[in-house]
Amino acid sequence: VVCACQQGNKSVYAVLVKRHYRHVFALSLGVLGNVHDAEDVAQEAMLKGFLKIKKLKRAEQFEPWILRIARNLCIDFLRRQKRTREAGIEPPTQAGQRTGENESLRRAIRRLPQELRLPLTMYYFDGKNAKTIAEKLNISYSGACQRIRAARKQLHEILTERTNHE
Amino acid sequence: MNSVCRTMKDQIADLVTGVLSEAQVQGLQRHLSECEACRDYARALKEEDVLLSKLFAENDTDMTRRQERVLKAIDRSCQSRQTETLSIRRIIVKHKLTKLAVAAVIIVAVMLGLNIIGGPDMASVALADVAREIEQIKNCVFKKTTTAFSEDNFINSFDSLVYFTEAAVREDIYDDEKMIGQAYVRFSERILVVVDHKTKEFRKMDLSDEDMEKMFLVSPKNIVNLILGKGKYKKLGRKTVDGILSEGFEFSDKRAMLSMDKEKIENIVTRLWVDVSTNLPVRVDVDCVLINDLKANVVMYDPKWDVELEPDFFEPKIPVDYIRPEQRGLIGINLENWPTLKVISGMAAEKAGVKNGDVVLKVNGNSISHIKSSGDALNLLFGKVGEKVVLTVKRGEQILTFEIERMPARE
Repeated sequence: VVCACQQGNKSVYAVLVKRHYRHVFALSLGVLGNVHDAEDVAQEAMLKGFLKIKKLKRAEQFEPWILRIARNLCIDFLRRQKRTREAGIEPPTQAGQRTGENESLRRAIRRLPQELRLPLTMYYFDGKNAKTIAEKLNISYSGACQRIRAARKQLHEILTERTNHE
Repeated sequence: MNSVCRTMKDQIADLVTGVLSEAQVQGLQRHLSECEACRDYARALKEEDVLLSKLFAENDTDMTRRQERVLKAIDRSCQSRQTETLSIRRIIVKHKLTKLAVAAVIIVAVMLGLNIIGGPDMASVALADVAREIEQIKNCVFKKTTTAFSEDNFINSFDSLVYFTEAAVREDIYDDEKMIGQAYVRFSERILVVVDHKTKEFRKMDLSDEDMEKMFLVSPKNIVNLILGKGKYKKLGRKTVDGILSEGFEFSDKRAMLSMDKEKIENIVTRLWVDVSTNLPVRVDVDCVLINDLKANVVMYDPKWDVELEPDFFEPKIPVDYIRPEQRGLIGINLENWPTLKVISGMAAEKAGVKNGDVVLKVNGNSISHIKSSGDALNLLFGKVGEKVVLTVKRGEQILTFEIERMPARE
């Protein structure tokens, strides 16, 4: 029976996955700055959401709830990563990655501080709408604009600094 | 660069983001027509915007594949949860030892009795043949998974191995490969022995005639006589179950659960899958709804028939330090906010000097860092009346140690 009820839930949950996964992924990517890690964490978040969905009291709160789960998992992930780094184990550099314009841009995005990378990532993922980002991140509209502005300026600095050195 | 340009840089960034007002855009355009540095800056940011859009669009293309991966991961977790074993504690909260025993008996009833219920037989696997096969069986061993849940909430699940002979039944219950409980039924002595390895308790119960009649199917043959021809069933057709081509039958007869209080069962559906070549059960799946909204699902599978089992295998083995529930002593603390304590007035802990708000650091000199729940703490503090528990607690900045003698539990 548990299985039957899980199956029932599972098909319903598939709809939720389709509807919200993109945002969860965007958030993870924004925090972590790396597609692979973001995929892992986003998957973990959706799975955790599925297992804990009974604890969610109000159905309409699913999105903020799942985003909060994802954010916490991202923080855990970064903490673990920091610990491994402190232990002297360098995360393997992704070999064989595409180089060129895209790669330098990727690297620059990764160098942005998390609080700027996140709104910038979500901006591009969310139809370039500062207002929805403000809602999703639970900050003011002007705050969201300000962060995107700072992100652009800083990104430009990183990119030009790199060109000057190269 | 002057201060005007500095403000303009902000506005250029906002322009690219698309959050600049009409008036601001016009002001900015005027400045750009005059300032080459800012024009360059604007061009650079716009180029970057194009690149960023492209990059994130690339990241966005794989979304369907990623979603599918997520759904697969969820599928996998569902499958693993079916066999997941959890603590038995919550399912047997109230009279845990008794319920454990009941669990042991249900399966016997179901495996041997219930599958024989049948009406006029039209199936190609004739239930009467199944009954005849069952009658021949002296011993069997099978696996069982019991899952309990209330409404839609999964409460608990545990796995067990059941050994059955005409003289005795033994059920070993596992939590993550660790044996947490056992139940023994000895038909000739009319006793039931239940051992809880978590609390280190055991209980022996005598079985009345009524118990015997209700709970224990003295021989498969009796069951056949009792229910053959009285129930109705639905055919489920053929399908491969656990790798064996089987034919399915579905019953919903309360008498199927001979071992439980019939009054407490609201509804029961049993699916029996019989091997088409041997006429022996392959899998039995029972869903039952109890009137207090608790539901249970019992699945018995992987049976082995006529396995040789030595009689002493059914001899209850109780470690010497295990106690009977009535011997259990308490020190009188409320563990709700473990490791922060609340003392119960008039009980041993209070008399020894423990105070509300003391935080436990050690029990009997051992660290308690692995004790996360109050349930585990309870197990740790359980013991015989008269024995002593040494608690090391933190009170403000002080570290204090108390020796507390367990008192008989109050009713």
